Amino acid sequence: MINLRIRTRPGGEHELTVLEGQSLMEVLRQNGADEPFAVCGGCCSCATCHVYVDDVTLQKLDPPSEDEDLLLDSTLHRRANSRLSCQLRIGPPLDGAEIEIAPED
Amino acid sequence: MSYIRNIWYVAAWSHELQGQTPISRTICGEPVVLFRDSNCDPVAFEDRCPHRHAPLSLGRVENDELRCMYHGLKFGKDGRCTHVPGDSPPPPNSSVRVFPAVERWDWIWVWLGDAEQADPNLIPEAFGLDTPRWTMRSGALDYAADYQLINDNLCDLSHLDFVHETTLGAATGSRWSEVPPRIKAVDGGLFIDRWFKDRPSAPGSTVLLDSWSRYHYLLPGVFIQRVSAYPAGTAEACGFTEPTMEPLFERVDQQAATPIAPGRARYLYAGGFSVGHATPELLEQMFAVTEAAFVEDKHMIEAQQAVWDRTPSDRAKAFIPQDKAPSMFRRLIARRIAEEQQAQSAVAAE
Repeated sequence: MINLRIRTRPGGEHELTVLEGQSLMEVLRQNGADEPFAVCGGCCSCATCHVYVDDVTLQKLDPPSEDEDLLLDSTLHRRANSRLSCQLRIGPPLDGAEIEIAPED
Repeated sequence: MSYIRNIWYVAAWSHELQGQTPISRTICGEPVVLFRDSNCDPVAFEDRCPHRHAPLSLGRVENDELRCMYHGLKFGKDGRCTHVPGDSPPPPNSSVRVFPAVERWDWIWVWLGDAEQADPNLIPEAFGLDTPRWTMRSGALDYAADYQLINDNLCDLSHLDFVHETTLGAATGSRWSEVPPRIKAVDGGLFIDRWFKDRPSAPGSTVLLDSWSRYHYLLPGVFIQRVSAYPAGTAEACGFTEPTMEPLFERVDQQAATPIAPGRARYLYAGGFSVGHATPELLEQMFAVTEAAFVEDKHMIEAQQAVWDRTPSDRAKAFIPQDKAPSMFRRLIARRIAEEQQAQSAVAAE
């Protein structure tokens, strides 16, 4: 089981304990992410599952693929700690992570 | 409705602007008049006489000046009023706005934004109509639909199998919806390509070809495509990248979707084939198929616009993988508009 703290757009904060294996996008969708979110269903095609990841966790993650990087670039609110949550799997690197859903484009 | 301002829009084919006759075009809601100067170079003004707002497109070109044919005021290429009939001095506010205009690839391109940023080097590379390599045909269609619906259509060619089932889709002999494209971001847009392997060279033929379709789709809506045919096996041999051998046969397309106003657009198209690879009869047949396909697109897209017009904007649309490139392109437009608006706010605040 993995522990996460997530901040959704209206400013709500949740502490979650979740099973490994699913994508972070699925967790967020089940836990208060406002529409539009993950419009493409999680196939790295849209950039609406955009999140900010705390710096400590960010270092532990594999860097984004070219596809993910390209989609992140197309957003209006990219930061150094931006990722697409559909590309992040719940596992030990995300334990203790602080995730903030990025503003809607 | 917002549009990108600092970008080159395709206003017309060169041959639509002939001799000394001005023509009117509306681009992004702006009325524009085009005429040629004494060097035959295109000039673009706001199509609105500063005097009583008559259309300058009803005016007369006199050497390097445009005379409004309502009360006869004349304007130089810099937009300044050079003459008022009766010889009174040109009053304040009598200059007409000039838009940078450049002719390249047989298109006349107009820049609607800050003239100082209008760099002709930003005009994408295309083919042109009168070249030794290609036999080209051109045309234009006015659409009762938003230019972004045409962008969506051209960014997702899987529609060929359905909209053009009996025309262009059949002619290519390929199943576009069954081969996912590779999509890459490039400066100013997207690069989209597909390899089709082992396609019959003609319906029923046993001669098989590999076909490489690739295109740039560039802001604000410019489509530059090459489709090259090679012997079967070439795709594998070159690792699905660019073959070193010359193709057997090529087709090229140069198209643009230019916004007229919200819900209205102009589609300018040209298609061509490599010189010497088809008989005149075959060429005409291929052009006819292409134009039939464009009529099919117009029919579907205008009907889609009519549905959009009576659908609340918050009604969800389901996403399939084919929507990736259209979705990315819409995001590129939105981001460019947001950047321009931010830059404008920053200037206003100073």
